[in-house]
Order: sequence, then C-alpha cells, then structure tokens
Amino acid sequence: MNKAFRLFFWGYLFVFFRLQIGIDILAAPIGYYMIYSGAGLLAERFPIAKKVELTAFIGMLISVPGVFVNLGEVTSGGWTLYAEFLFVWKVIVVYYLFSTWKSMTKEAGQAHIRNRLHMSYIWYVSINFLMMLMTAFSLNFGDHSFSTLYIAASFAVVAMDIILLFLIAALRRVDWLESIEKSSLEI
Amino acid sequence: MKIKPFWAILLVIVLMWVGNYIYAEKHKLKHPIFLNHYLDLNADYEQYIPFYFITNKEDTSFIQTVELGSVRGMPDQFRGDNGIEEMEQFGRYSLKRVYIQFNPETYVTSSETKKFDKMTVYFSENRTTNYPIGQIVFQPEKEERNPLSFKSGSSGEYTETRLVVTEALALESVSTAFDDALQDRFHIKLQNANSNETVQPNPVIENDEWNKVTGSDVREVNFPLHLDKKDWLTVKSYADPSLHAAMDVKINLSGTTETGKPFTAQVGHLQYEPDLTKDSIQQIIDERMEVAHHE
Repeated sequence: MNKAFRLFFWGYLFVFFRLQIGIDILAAPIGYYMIYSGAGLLAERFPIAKKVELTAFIGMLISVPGVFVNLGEVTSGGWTLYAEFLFVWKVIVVYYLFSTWKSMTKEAGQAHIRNRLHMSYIWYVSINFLMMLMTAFSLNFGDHSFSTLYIAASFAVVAMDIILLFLIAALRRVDWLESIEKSSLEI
Repeated sequence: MKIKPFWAILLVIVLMWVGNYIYAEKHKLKHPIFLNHYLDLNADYEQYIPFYFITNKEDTSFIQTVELGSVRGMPDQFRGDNGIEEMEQFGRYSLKRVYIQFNPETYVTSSETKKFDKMTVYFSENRTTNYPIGQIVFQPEKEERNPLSFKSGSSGEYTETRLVVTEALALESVSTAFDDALQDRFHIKLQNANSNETVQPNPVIENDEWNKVTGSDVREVNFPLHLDKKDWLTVKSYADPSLHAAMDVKINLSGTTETGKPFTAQVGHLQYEPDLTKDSIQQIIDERMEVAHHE
C-alpha cells in the first residue's frame, strides 16, 4: 500500500515537473508509468484503481512527444493544442487517483483524512479548471488585466501540484494495513 | 445514472475551448495590416521612420527588408525582437512597430518628388509583399528663403506653431502633400493680429475643443493674406482621430514677399503613434479588407 503511494509520489513529480536539459529529464511518460504501476498494486482490492491504470497508461503513451519538444516555448497552434490536451489528461488521471483514495478511506476512524481528501480534491480540480478556461480565452484576449489573471492562475496551479504531492506523502504515512484489516474484520 | 459534476464541467470547458478556437480562426488575419502613415519626408538624408502594423497575436514573423518603389529600407535590429516591438494587445491582435532606416539620397535624384501609397515588405513568414501604407512622400530639401521665422510651438489635442514675419509678405496658399487623401479630416486654422476671431464653417463633430480654437479655417481665409514685418502668424492643425494614422505632415505656406520673390515656409504636424482602442483596430482591419475586396 505504502509502496503504491511512493510510486504515486514520484510518478506525479515526474509528470508535473520539467527539467529541460536538451530533453525533459523528468519525463512525463516515466511518471505516468510509475502511477500506472502504483495503481496496479491497488487494483485488486480497489477496483476503481483500474481506471487509474488505464488513464495513466494512455498518459504514458501520449506524453512521449512532449519529452522532445519544449512545450513551454511553442507558439504554433498544433503544439499549444497538444500541450493543453496533456494538461486535461493529467487532471483526469488525478481525478481517478482521488476516487481511488476516497474508496480506500471508507473507515469510521478516517474522517479527517476523508475531509482533507475532499478539500484537496475540490481545490485541485477548481484551480485546474480555472486554468483551462483561461487558456481557452487566451486565444482571443490578452490585455494587461487578463495577463495578470493568467499569471496568477499559473502560480495557483503550481501551488496545487505541490499541495497534491504533500497530500500523497501524508497518505503514504497512513497505516493502511491496520485500517484495511479493521475493515475486513468488521465485515 | 447521475453524471458526476466533474465530467459535466469538463465538457463545458472543452466546449469553451472549441468556441474560442473557432472564433480565433474566423478572425485570423491572412497577413499583417499596416496603419495609414501620412509622411512628408526629406529625400536628402538618412532617417529612421516608425511604421505601425497589426498582426495576429501568435504571429512571430519579423521584417527583413522593405521597398518604397526603388527606395530600400532596413529595419533597426536593435529594437525589440529582430526589430519588431509589440506595442499593445487588442483581443486577438497585436499592434506592432518597426523602425525602418531609409537612405533615400541613394535612390532618389535631387530634383524628384516621389509619392508612394504601397510599400513592399518582406516578412520572414508571409507571402504577401505589397501593403497599403497610407501615403509617403520623399521631397528634396528646398533651399528657399523663409520670411516666416519660428517662434514657438506646442502640441496636444491639436498642434500649434507660432511664426513671426521677417519680411513683409502676401500669403497666397496653405497646402499639404496629402490634401486629396486627407480632405475633410485634416483641419488647419490661421490666426494673426488682424483676425482674432474664430471662423469654423463646418463644426468638427466630436471635437469641441477644435471648434472653439481661435483662428480661421484655411478654407474660409481670403487669400492673399498680407502680413507686415514683425506681424505674427499662428498656424494650428488638427487631425481627425478617425484617421487612426501616423502623421508627419508638412504644411506649406506659399506666397510672395514684398520684393516679389516667391517663398514656401513649412510648419510641421507630427503625430506618431495614434491613439487606438479595440474598436479602432477592428475599424482599420475592416477598412483594409473592404478595399482589398474591391481591387
């Protein structure tokens, strides 16, 4: 269980960070593979993790071109569309990750984790949705106030990514074996 | 089956994306559009002239070289990105500026006056080369006697230049190189000691300040206007903002001195960088598109 979260942690770090030295060293496909593996460990017990497996696997494949092209600097319509699609896909994978974690925390004594999960989910998805909206309108708007808002949203997205990493780290420290055993005893 | 809000909102966002994309494609410019420039330039020396043009926001092409007839110009590479400066963004478009260095003396012989309304511009990424740019005139410098001496000048809503007469004269005409192009959109008023009144035949809509400015509109002045030594003459000029143009217009004051010698004095109307809004940008684009369709 904890191994799964370790994989999620490093996986997401690889997906969200870019370290461009010639190519993206913290390559997204590697990150998605780790998330895929982590989900594989949970799939038997928590069937919703199968959705994570599927979407992470697809993510691994579609993010390959992004390794070789610096998506932060492209201007052509095609690449910006691709970059946005990767962004949306990342959010979908995270959505299923949250669903998996929620199904893992159905215990009585885990109310505070469930709350934290729920709050993180709402914040993460809201900020990322906001960013998607701003990118959509950035095609046709661009004055000073819009640019300022756009920059603020970009910072917020990075903040959410970091918060998500902290969340995964916290989930990793939960004594999962104990709570799972508890639940099987109660059945 | 209850549809989770996540997917519903995601769908809405995707639709917004598609909507914006379609709108952007529909309003995409096929090639940059230059503003109108009414420039009266001296053909005898090197100069740097700013040109303003509108491109799609995502256009990153730069200018390699330009040609006004046989006069070739090169962009000033030290400004902006490869010479192109982005001034402002208006929705889907960007207003950009490039300074072009001209050495007209290499191309224009000293007695010719050349007028151009199209400029050939070689962009790094555009096929189109001929762009309407308003009207640009290269004139040789005239060594002429000037019985009107410059005293002071100012500019704001309108430009004002105060001159003093050094030799008694009869002012016979006031004109610019762009009279037909500018017609009713460029106004000139004269004020001197004898006529301290305001004669404004057709009130200029939208600019109350100009209407109230003292002076007689040149169209109403009874030429020849006789002025004695030490008289003062103030020339005021106003360009209708709907021109949305960059202007370096020389107002020619022609006549004959008391001793019978002809003269032409010049007073400038300089107004680079027009005041623009999103609406005026759209107007400029529409106007150019309309002309293009009729050609």
